[in-house]
Amino acid sequence: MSVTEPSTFDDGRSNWLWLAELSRWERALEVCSDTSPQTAGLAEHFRFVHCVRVDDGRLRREWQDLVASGYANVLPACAAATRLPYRDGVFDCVALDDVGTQAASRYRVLPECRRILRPGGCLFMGTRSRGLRRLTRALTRAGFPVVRAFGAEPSWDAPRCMIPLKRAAILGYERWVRRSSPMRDVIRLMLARLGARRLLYRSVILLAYP
Amino acid sequence: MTRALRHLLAGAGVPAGDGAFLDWSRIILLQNLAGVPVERHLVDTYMGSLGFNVLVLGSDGRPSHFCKCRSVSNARLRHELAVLTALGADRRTRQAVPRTWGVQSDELRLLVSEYIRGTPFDRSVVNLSASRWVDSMTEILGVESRVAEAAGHVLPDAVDGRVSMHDAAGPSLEYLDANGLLEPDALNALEEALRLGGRVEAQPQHGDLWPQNVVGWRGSWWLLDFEAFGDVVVPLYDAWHLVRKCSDLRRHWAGKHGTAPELWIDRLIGDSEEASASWHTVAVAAREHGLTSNQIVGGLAYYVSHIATEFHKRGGPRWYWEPHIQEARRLAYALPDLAARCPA
Repeated sequence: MSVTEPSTFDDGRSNWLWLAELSRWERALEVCSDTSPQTAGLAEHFRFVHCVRVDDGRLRREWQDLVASGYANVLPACAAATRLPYRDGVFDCVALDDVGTQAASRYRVLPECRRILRPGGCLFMGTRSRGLRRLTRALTRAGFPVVRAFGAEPSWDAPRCMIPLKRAAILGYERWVRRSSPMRDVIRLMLARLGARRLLYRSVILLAYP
Repeated sequence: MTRALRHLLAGAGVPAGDGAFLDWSRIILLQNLAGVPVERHLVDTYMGSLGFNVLVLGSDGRPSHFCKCRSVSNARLRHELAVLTALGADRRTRQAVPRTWGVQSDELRLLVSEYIRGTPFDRSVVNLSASRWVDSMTEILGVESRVAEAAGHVLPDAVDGRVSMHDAAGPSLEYLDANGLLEPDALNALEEALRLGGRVEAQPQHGDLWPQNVVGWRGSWWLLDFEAFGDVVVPLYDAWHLVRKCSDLRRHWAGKHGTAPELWIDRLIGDSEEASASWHTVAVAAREHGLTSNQIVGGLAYYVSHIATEFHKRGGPRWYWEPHIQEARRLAYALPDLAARCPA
């Protein structure tokens, strides 16, 4: 009601799942280098959620909290994102959280994600928009021919808005949103018309399909 | 997008364009505040009543529909749907609320409204002269009054005789007291103002009538977001809320050139053109309801205590709720000045 809701109210991180094309909701994997507020959301949608972290102690605490909240369908594992301890093609969905911030490790993780994802599954990635074209090419090379990109505002880890990175959608969104000054509105609409996606949105969410 | 959402939108009659279903690039996720379904530890919290919204683009690329997406069990969305469906079917309010309907699956409930294309009032209000601002607010409150009157016919449960301002504010005052948010003398002052307000004719209030929920389109004012409609039945609640939020916006947009005090109550008791405009608007609304000056002040005391309580209950960070507590405290100590400022 009536004022900007504080960022501590951001709990809609898993709502991207409503935009994902998935026919089966059996098993999801979440790979994250830190505690993720997305696990509970995934556990509401999927029958089983496996979460992989690098830090064993943190993982244990996070898992205990989730179980205490009633999420017995969360299964933890401590591993490196580049060597995931799962068989080929077992997951319907893989959510790559902030693993994507380091470009080098990000590219190494993609083939591994493709390996464990079943045909018809979906890979989620939240990252910065810088290097988007290169990342899309890397995804294609790793076996994800279909990549759908969304601008995430204010950021991919607090996506209050997800805007398909298509000209009509960007224009529709920029006309709808109201910013702190009319001049900013004008400039952003100009950028939207020019298709300057990277300047408009610093964060992106990618949904990639094998 | 998921098969569930795609089928719901198709079932809601949202045109798909060329294909059988909507293309992914015509869906924009907005105001994404809480997961749907609601996470278990959030079920009984404010967060649990939230979800996300969706803006659907037509085949011409322009917004065509606005959808609220919540868990099926969300009582607030069910309430809003009932209110908007009833009001949309009434000829008196057809030009004031968007045509709205609902669809649901096992997990998701959608409230689908036709997109109102006009200019939101929060954009235009900041550039208006004081007199034009008064005119606009008076017109908007006139529309709100018409909606409330129609609601009395189409939603008979929405109104229930007369209401005591003091009794209505009781839970808020108790909450502020129990949580140590207001000092006893401030609470006593507010209580006294509410007691002097006495009993008034109950009138369902919109509950969130701020400029972003008002759109000027085709020569009419359209009201949006009826989630809280009828939660409050004390008259002038909407009037005070609209005046306050407009005043906040105008002060904010004046930026560094503005000299208005930070607290709204200070602006209200001042002798600026803005203060006169605020009082004039509320006086017109009060006249329509036949309210006395004590009832105008009582309505204000009800408004500030209610909103301070609601914001604190949500459990956000201090910066989120504290300004509302400060306004309530300021009002309590400014009541003698207000009585002099209030129109007879």
